[in-house]
Amino acid sequence: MSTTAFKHFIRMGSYVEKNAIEQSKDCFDGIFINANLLESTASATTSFITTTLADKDYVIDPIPFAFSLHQEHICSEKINRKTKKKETGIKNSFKKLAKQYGSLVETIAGKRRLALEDFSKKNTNILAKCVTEYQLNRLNEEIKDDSKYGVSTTKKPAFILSPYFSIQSNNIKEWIKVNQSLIEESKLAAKQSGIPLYGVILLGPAFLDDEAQLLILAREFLQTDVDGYLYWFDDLDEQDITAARVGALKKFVEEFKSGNKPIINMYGGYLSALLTKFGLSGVVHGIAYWEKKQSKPISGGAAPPAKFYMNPIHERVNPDELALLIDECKFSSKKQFLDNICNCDVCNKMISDKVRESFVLSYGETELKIKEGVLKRQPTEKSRLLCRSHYLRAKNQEIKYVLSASQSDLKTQLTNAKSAFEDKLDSLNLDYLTAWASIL
Amino acid sequence: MRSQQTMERLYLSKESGIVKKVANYFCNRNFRVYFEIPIFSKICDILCFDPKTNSTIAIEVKISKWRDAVRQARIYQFGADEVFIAMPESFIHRIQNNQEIPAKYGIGIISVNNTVKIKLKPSRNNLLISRLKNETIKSISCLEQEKVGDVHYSV
Repeated sequence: MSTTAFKHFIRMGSYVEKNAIEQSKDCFDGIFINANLLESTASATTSFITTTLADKDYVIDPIPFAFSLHQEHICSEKINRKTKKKETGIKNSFKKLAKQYGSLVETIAGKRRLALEDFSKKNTNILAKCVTEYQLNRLNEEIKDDSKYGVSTTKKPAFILSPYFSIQSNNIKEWIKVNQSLIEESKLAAKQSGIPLYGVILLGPAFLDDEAQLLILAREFLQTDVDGYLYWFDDLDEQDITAARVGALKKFVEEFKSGNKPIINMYGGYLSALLTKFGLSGVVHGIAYWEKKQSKPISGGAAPPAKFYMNPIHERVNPDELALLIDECKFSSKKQFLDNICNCDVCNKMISDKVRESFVLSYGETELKIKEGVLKRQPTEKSRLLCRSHYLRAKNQEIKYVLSASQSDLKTQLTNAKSAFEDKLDSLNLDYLTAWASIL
Repeated sequence: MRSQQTMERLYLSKESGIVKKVANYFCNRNFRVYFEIPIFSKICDILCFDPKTNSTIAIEVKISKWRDAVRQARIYQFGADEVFIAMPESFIHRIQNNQEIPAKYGIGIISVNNTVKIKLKPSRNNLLISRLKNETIKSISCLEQEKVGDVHYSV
């Protein structure tokens, strides 16, 4: 992967994913770590990045926008040890972050949200400086604090993200200005470090409905002239998108390409891979989730269900659904499965000529749980790990395929997949494949 | 006791009348009848088990939406020897007009009115995976037995 200009990043959502990440190290270029995860598992995460992933890029997402959300998103209930009463307070990870993001954030965190009027010249400068320094130094501070990692050289992030806040529809111009100022103020600190600086654009998906306004916004960000940009359309679901929105997204990406600036999607799936044909230079996603993400809540909640990533339709499906599909398609040999669904290392190992049975007993393996008197079958840890490992390999294959295939081939693949599977997957609407194909 | 709670909830629901009648039908045919038993990724409404023959029957009860019932029933086929869909007689014509679908998949149909009638016998279940069937039987051993019938199940 690293030989191509396209950058494929995995966003680590929980430390429990380390096994899947470690086993699939050859399937991605680098890793994104959210700052709140880094703060809550600082020692383990630092060790993981500097030793296990020593040869991989890393980027810290400082998630500064969290301090502009309602306090409930960064607070939790705790029991006061003295009074034994429940109290609501800022989560420890955000408390630690606030302390490092300068006086403004530290003062308001947990009490109120950051508002437009907080971004004075002075505050903007302090915030930009602190957030930049945090990304540059956080891991190395942890290494200094704990010599057990045995790392002699410091490890710097692949690039630094400017502090960013959602461009809200009621104050578009003002929020664009705040974000632009934060990028400008981050330049100096970044320049001294020699690490590239990327500006971040966080906006609602409704911006895709007004292409003209979207392109003006892109040009305004391009004026900041930093090393590259990242975008995040809040909660944009690539599997539930109109052709018009796909078209606007393509134009948005092309605008950055024509400005000779790399542009990376912070939460994307196969549509983002397709957008490489129009200038997208990277994509970030979690392991079988976070191909879309809402800016609130910040944390993802419980682990996502174990689903099988079905390569031809570029979507995750329940193992039971795929087991039925195997029957519908009359796949009676391993070769048929590998040719039509996936031929990654994991599938090669797990699928036998007893296709349906081997699939069900590997990716679909469940175990009995009794919770509050109710019987339930849940995916085993083994099947979760298999689904994650398969996902990472499938994604790697997808990106390699997109980079090598022509637009016409990519379009044919989408069209063929829709006609092959739309009648066989009752629970899924595959119209998104047509929407994606519309730009090719 | 969990099974009593389940029964109470089911009796209160719209499907409860059908569940009760179907359960009695199979109880009277020498089956042990259990409710809400997980099979693969789904939870079936009624699971009948004959310890003498070690055979299992999974039943999906639906008031309407028979297509959803077919989908659920197909998943039960991974872990039960035979699978039925049970519906009120007044709705049975909908599924009978499309009988080729349950028949195609080997799913049986039960019509419920004042009496319980088997309208379509399930055919050979090609989806059955013996390990999942064993796991289903293991699941029911975790539950307290609901009822034991004396009469063998017959069509």
